[in-house]
Amino acid sequence: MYATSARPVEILLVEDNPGDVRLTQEALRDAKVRNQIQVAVDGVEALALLRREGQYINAARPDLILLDLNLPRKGGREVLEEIKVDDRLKHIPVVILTTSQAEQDILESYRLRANAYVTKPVDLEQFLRVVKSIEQFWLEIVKLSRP
Amino acid sequence: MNPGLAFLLGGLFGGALLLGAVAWWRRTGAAGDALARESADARFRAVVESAPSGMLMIDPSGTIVLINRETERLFGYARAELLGGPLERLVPERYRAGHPAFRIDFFRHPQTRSMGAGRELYGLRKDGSELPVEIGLNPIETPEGQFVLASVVDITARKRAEARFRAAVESSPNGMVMIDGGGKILLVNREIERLFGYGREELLGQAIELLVPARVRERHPGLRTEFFAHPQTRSMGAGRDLFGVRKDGTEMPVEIGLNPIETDEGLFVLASVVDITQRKRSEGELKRSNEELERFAYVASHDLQEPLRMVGSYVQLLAKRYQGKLDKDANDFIGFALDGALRMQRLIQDLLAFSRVSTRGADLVPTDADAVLGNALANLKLTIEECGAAVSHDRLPTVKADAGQLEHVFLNLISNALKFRGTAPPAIHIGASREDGDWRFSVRDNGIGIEPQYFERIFVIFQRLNARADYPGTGIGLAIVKKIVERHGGRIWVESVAGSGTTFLFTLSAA
Repeated sequence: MYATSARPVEILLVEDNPGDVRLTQEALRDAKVRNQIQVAVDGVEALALLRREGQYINAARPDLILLDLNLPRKGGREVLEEIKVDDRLKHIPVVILTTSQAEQDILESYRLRANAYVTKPVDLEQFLRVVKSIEQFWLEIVKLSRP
Repeated sequence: MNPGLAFLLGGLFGGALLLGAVAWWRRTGAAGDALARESADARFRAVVESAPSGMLMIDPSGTIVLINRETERLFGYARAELLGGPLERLVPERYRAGHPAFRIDFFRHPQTRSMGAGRELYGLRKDGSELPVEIGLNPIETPEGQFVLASVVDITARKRAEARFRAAVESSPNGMVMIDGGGKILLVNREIERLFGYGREELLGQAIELLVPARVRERHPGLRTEFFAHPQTRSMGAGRDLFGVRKDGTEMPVEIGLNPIETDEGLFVLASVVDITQRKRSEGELKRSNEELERFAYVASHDLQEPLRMVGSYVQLLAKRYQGKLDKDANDFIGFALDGALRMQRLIQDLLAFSRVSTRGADLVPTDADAVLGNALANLKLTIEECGAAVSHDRLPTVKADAGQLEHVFLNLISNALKFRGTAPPAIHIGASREDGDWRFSVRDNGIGIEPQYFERIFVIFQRLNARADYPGTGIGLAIVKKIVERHGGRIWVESVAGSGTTFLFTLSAA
């Protein structure tokens, strides 16, 4: 179990809405698994962080990425695409967490090899449950490759 | 048969009978047998007498030697007043001077024909009034010499009908143009002149193709001939956009109705032409504005969801974390804020669902309504059991529909029937009956019913009849149902007696 592992699970949340950032943090606060959340507010920052460029030279490489689709500067689709062709990054599970229910977005995301596509529930309780489920599945159930 | 035609046929028949009698009279006359001749003469007179047309026989000098009863009636003379008198007495004064020359010419070149080809003929009555007539001339050879038997038909009624027809055509607000079998323009009205910018004299006698755009001009005579072969009153160019071309070469969209008209001159077609430029423009504008509205509704409601989710989520978080730690007022306020946010979320979702009826609808294909109803009932199984409802249905037909949307219609109407139940356990019946080319579906319940003044209002978006506390809901359901039914080309309405149940009825095209 990761709970016993040496370092906390690193989660990268790519999300420009501070309200959603906070909600996600709130939802993960009581998670069973010790976790640490880094936040990138747009696609460019997310990729810089993942590639440890510039100020992110010492950034931890995340174990799980929660990615919104509608982001400033560089959209979620492009971020996803770049992650999945990058040998250093493509093993990291990416969960799309967005408000979009458009069939087009869902298809396109899976085509770009998203690991899961989740629509943000409108209701708080459901939102908390969804984030907890993501946490539970990816951090407790699934065995991640942790270099 | 129209009276004019009957009259004309009567005249022709009488004429044929008469010509037979004339021929027979000639033959026997030539034989010279006095007794036979007398008998033939009597028959001839009897036939002439009973002819439905006025008959007059004159000699080369223009003296009337024989008339029949109808001639007396037409001209208002007694027989004795005319016999032995000049034919010209019956000719209006303005033609009288010229008439002997025509008469003499006819005796010189006698042949059976109608008189005054192309001219309008009039007779003069004893009282000085005139009557429009049609006159047929038959030369008759006898041993006594050459005679002419003229048959006279009063065409007053026909003239009057013609004048009425012309006046009706002329004053029609539609453009009217009549053509013959060869496509030649015989008649146009003022509106045609106005629409196409031609003077009447520029159109009469021209081919109708003058008014047809060049790109279809070549094809048009074929279509026209086809119509004359199978004439029926119908609109022209079903499903195609029709255009007329004006004198200045500009085109206008038109709607054309075709009416075959039987006349004694053959089959004519009277076409009514309406300029639909304005209608087309309005239709286009309406379509654009509807599409814009749909897009607006979709984008607005979609984008409204985001900030609202924040409001809702954080008020909920506030409630979750601080419930009981603040005073009662604070709890109430949080409660109201939360209720408002949740209601607005529902409204937005409903609005999205409403706009999706047209933006996300599937094609209308033959769909087994019975199977669709089965799905809807399966979805409602739990609710139906909870309410103790009895649901029955006819075997439903196959219709042209979007299955998903049709299921929504059943779901909604049956849910309503369950929701607005009375004190008795709900009894719901779903039926279908044939109505011309359509199927009429009904969803009947024994619930609380609806008062007639609300029959229209219930279908309006976000209109509710009941207190929210008694019957929750945003008031979108029936608006969506109506929109779906109308998208399918059907109608929906309600029949109800308050207190004793409601029946919703809607139509769908048969598959």
